[in-house]
Amino acid sequence: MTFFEARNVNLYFGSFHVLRDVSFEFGKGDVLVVCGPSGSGKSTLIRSINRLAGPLASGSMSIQGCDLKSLPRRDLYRRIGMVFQRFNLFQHLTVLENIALPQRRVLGRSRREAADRARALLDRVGLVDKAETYPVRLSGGQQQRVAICRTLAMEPELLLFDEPTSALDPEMVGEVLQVMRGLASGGMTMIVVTHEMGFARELGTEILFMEQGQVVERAPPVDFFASPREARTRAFLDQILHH
Amino acid sequence: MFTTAYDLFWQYRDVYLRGLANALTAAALGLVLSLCVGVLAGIVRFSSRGIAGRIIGIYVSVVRNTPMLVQVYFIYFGLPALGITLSAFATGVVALTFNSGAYIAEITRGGLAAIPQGQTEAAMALGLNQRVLLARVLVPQAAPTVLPAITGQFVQLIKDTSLLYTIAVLEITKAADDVGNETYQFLEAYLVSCVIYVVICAVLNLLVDQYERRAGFSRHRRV
Repeated sequence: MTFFEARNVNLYFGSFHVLRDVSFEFGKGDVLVVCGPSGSGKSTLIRSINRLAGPLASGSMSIQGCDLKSLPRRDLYRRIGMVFQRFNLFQHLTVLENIALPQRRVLGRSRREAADRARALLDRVGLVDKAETYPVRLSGGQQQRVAICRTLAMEPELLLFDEPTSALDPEMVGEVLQVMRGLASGGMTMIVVTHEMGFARELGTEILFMEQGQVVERAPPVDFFASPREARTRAFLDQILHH
Repeated sequence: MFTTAYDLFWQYRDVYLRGLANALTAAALGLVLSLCVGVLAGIVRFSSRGIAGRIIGIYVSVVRNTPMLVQVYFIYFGLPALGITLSAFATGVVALTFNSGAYIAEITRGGLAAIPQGQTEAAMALGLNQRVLLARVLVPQAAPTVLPAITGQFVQLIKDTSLLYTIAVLEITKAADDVGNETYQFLEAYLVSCVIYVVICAVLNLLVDQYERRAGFSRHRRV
């Protein structure tokens, strides 16, 4: 059953046509991996889902049949969470406060409840001892794990990952992917923009390859890596896998 | 000349100290009021692209592009024309607030604009509304960085009180002028006021420097 659907999405930045007739859909519990060269519009695509990229010129997106455009702000952000490339933790708040603030202000949870939930999530990612620490004291990998907890605390139905490991030192990529692996196997529905082809192959339900704002190819990972149909996909894979 | 100046100060210390007290009171009141006006205006200017933001934009550029003396006169003669009669001192405080509020609005807006865009995006993606975004995410992060500039604005306010001399507020410059008129020793009389300004402003600036060093230190500790 279709959980999320994008239909002929077009988006412009000024006169620049960033997304060209993008269409795709996926089911609940799926992990859609979006890849492609830089500037291909993959970040813009997921940012357009939660209104960080400006209004669509045409086309529509829907989650469980609800048109995203007509979904009230509150509902939209409750249902769709996002993890950023640069973590974007609130620098003036401790790890615990980072995770508790949105729960209290958006979901109306009590201080106690929000803190309990934050600790439980931190425990899951192995950072419960960092609860009282400020983000600047954490490594990139730790910050990203906290950012994932902050989003998970809101219990979204769909999680968007915008290159979650691209700003990390290589030795920290593993710990973040480990958390994402746990989420995927736990049935979380996700769209992941990433260059981590190992992750895509292992956990992707489907891979969306984009170039110049267009979807070039969409295929399950087995087919995508073994027998890409498009020449552009082959060129990209050659570059990324054998460099 | 210096001994004469000192003698003058001692002889007319009442006048000078009254002037100093008035100047400090006016500056302090001006600071408190312009903080209220300026921070609010800065936040609105930062977050509103609409009519309110544009009105504040006009206010800020009017203040920045006219001499303060003109503003003082305008308020001094303008308020009565609007049927508002205030004492010279109160008029002076209004003028200081009007002027300083615009600068503090710009300082505030700059402080907010300097926060990385990612903080706003994260707050939005988590569903925080505009009010919570400002109150809990942006303003607390901007406050420590704009505080030195705002204290600097206080020093500016103290110096600007000298313009209130023109509307007959007894502040430091008026005190010096009165003493000069009485003794015909203008140079010495003004030298006294000069020393008073320097001492007060230098002390304040030192305090700001101290704060900046301490804040820098504590930020590093946190980092």
